[in-house]
Amino acid sequence: MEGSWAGSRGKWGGMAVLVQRPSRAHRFDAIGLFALLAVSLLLAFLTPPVRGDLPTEIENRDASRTVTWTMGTAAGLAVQGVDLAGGNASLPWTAHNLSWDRPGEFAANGSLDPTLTMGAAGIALRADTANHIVDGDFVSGTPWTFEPSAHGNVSAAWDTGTATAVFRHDSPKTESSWDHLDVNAGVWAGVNGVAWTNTTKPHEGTGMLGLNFSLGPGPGAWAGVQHLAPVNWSSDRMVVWVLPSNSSLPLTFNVTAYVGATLYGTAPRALVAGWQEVSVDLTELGPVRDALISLTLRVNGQGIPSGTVYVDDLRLGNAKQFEETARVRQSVVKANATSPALGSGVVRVNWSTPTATGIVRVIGIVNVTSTSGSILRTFSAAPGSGWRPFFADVSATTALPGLYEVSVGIDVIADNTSVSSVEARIDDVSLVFPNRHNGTYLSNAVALGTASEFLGVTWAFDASGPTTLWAALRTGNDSSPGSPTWSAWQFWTAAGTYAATLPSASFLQARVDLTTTNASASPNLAAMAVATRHRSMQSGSVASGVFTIPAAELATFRNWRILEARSRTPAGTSISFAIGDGTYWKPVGSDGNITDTNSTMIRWSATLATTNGLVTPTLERVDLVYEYLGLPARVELRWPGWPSPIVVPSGGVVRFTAVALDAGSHVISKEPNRFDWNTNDSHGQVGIDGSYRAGEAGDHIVNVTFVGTTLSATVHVRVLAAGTWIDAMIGYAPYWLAVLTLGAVGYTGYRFGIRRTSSIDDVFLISKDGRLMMHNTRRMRADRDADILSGMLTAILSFLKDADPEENGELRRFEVGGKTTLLERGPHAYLVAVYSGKVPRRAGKNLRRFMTSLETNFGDAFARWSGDPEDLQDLKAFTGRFVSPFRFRPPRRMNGRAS
Amino acid sequence: MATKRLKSKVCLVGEKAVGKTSLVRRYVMNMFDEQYITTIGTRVSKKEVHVSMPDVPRPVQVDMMIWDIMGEKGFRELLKDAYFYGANGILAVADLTRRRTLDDLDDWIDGVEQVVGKVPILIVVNKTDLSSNSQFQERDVAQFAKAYGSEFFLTSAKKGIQVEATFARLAALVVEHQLHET
Repeated sequence: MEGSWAGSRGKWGGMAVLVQRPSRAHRFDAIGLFALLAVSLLLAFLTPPVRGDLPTEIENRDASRTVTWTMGTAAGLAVQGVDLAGGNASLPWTAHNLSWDRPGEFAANGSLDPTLTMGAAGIALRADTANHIVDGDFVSGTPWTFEPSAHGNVSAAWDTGTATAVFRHDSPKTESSWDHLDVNAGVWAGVNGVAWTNTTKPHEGTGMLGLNFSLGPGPGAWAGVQHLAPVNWSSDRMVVWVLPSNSSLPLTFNVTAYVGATLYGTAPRALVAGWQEVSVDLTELGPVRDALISLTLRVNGQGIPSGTVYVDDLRLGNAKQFEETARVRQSVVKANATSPALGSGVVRVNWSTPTATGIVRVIGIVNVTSTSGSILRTFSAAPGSGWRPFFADVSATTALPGLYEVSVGIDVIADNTSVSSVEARIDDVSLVFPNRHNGTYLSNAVALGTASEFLGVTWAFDASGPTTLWAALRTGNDSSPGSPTWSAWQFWTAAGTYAATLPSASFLQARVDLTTTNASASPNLAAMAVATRHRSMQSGSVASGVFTIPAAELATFRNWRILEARSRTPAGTSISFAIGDGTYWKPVGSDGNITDTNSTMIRWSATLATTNGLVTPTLERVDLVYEYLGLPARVELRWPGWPSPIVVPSGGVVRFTAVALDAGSHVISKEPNRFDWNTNDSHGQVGIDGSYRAGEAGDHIVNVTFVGTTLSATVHVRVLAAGTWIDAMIGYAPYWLAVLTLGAVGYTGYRFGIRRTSSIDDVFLISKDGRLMMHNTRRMRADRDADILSGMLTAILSFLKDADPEENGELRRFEVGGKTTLLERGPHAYLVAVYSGKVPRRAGKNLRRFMTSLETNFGDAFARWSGDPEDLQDLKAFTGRFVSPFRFRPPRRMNGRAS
Repeated sequence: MATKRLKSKVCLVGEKAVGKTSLVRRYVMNMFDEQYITTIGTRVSKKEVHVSMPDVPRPVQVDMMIWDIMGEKGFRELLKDAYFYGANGILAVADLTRRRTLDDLDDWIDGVEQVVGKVPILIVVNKTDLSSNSQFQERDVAQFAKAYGSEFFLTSAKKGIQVEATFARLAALVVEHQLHET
């Protein structure tokens, strides 16, 4: 936004209203002032007020005014890349987020311990995933050794079709029917119940033996069916099907019989609902069972008012009893030591048991053996064709390097009389030593570009169970972490987002420690994000609109004096200013001096910059001061020798100069006729030009008054009588010394040149300021520098001329030793010719003619001479004509030859 | 590469006994007795200075004519039109041990500028070897120089401190001013 407005000084609706101008020069008559006020008030009601941050103008005491801009709002300001807040302009905060959400970003900015690894999910402890089992998937069957069980009941073989190891057991039944229990009358009788034959849905044959009973509430109640005749059961196992009615439970089942007079009983077995095959170990009835009396099949319970139980298909036989293991094995060479910590060595097996009938149980066995010990793990599950994994941690006995024997087997336990069949398979056997070790990720010193504040940090990681992860950050101001500029580490032990309390700095370092107490488990570092902010490193600017000197003040406006700013520029920051009038910008020096600016339109700009992201320059206000020609404020007097006291002989003259100044010391007038001069020297007088001619001896005053004002100045004058003039002459001693010295120089020159014949030795063309423009000589003198001679000669001539300004004459000739020096002055330079011997009578005329010719041909070049001898390079040849022994005759005008 | 030559006039101004003559004596080989200063109020010396300007293709040899002006106010008023006329630069000299000499430079500089207008000015505070007796500080000099938009140097003619640099800098400013003026 860029606009233009007149000097506001409390602007109201576009009409300038004087707010503070105590010494304003303009005078309004009463009517005009009243009209102005009326119009102003009317406009004030019709238009909204302008915002307060437009420039205001105040009057100063030294004929100057200050125009002030403040930074409260952006009104009237063009703001770019700068915040206006709290009455200040400052560089805004810029957010910067350091975000590493891929493991590669961590790696690119730092280093990982060898114990760490990067994966798609993040950074974790590195694991050794090598399988030390050869042909664990049984593709070739080697180098496995397939071992059947000790007595051959369980086989072990390589199944090429399925690429598995297979274990089998198959055996026929050893039992035979003893009583089908289809017809029971006369064979079995109920005891504590009623026995009967039921032909409905027997388990086997055409009927089954039923028993209705009722058991009392006390313990030890039982009912049963008793074989009426003694039996010879030399077999060791009885097997019978039993079906209790649902209302009969809970019940247990056992067999009792008398051997001789002794009653034996087998251990009661709990019955469940539905048909169940109950196998009874007959050896519990004693070692001799060839004459068992009162053999009874019992159900035991209490508090059963009415129950029924059926038995069917009673068989006898000798049980097949064995527990045998078949296995596959191979030797493993472990080259390196590992940790005995949990997870450092793991065996894995996939296994299934498609068939397992007629046996007690099938279990799996993993065994790892070495000279330092062995470890055995078992596994079991219900039969099924699905594959199930089994893991066994063998860390404790596999830490050392060496030769290990690894075996995986199937243990079959049988205690049955029925048909038995077992098929078990294993596959994908592996032995790995993950052996994860603790590790640390350490980033480099990450440069943030500039000093920054830290707002928050977000950690994404998983550290559960036996694992831990410590994340840490520290900050510093150089690229050498750990140097004195670096802070202590700040730690986080749980993932999440946290407010950071890290010291502000320009560098950041991250450290993550991953640890585990289980060598097979690892924490995982996924991501890190650090939120920072810093002051904008792009410079920002504030610029005003164009301020125009109000029309009423244009007549007295002189120039702009200074740009002053109220600001703060901490180390590393800067504010640079420029001013212009809307068509250009030019920088303002650090002193703010803008006295070379006299445009009536002005605007300013401030550029804020920082090299430190933590600090910003702030600009609160800008003042532009301009000067104007004010009213006369004082009169000053000057005289030769000012401010030394004035001592003048009676009849002597002192030339006074009066100056009228305003409050800013601006010269209002130096014209003598604008001053009234007076003195109390009754015999003296002061002319209208300020020349005071001393009258009688004594102390007098000379007074001057600026016409039309009461402003005046007075000076005291001491007039000496004629007899005391010699005393006053002491004050002019330098003048007389100069004259005496000049005389001495002239006399010496005369004595030296008298011996010479008449000729022009040297011609000097000297600019009025004393610089030698050209020197033409007949002979060079090493002990004389023509430049210095020219300067001193100019000084002497000036001294002689100004020593007595009332005399109009000028030195044209002097003689020193045997030489005569003639001088001729032109508008831009003067000519000095040094003659040896007698000077021709025509010399003076020749010199004037030559000077005229020089000004004619080179006058323009003389006027604009910069001091460069090359500008006057044609002059040398021209003057050579004058130095020649012949009479000088001016050439035709050499237009354009002088450069 | 041929050297460009330039003749310049610079004026040393300042109150009595601030060390103007000593500065010149230190800087150039004198050919005139100092008595000339007390006789006619000035003495002219010469020093050739070589200046390299970024925007001038050739090196510049400046024949710098140094007008050592007598520090008498009466002389200044009497002869300023003559002595200051055509000056291309000003060396305004004050004495570190006398505050008044700095304040009085205002009149000296104004006197020159009334005659020649705006020309390069260097403010020189001499006698830094007597800093234990200083009556003003460097910041006072900086403030004073700032008012004229000029640079300043702290010198010791007695010990030769900063003298060469002062004149060299003035020469550079003068050359720049002269070349741009034309």
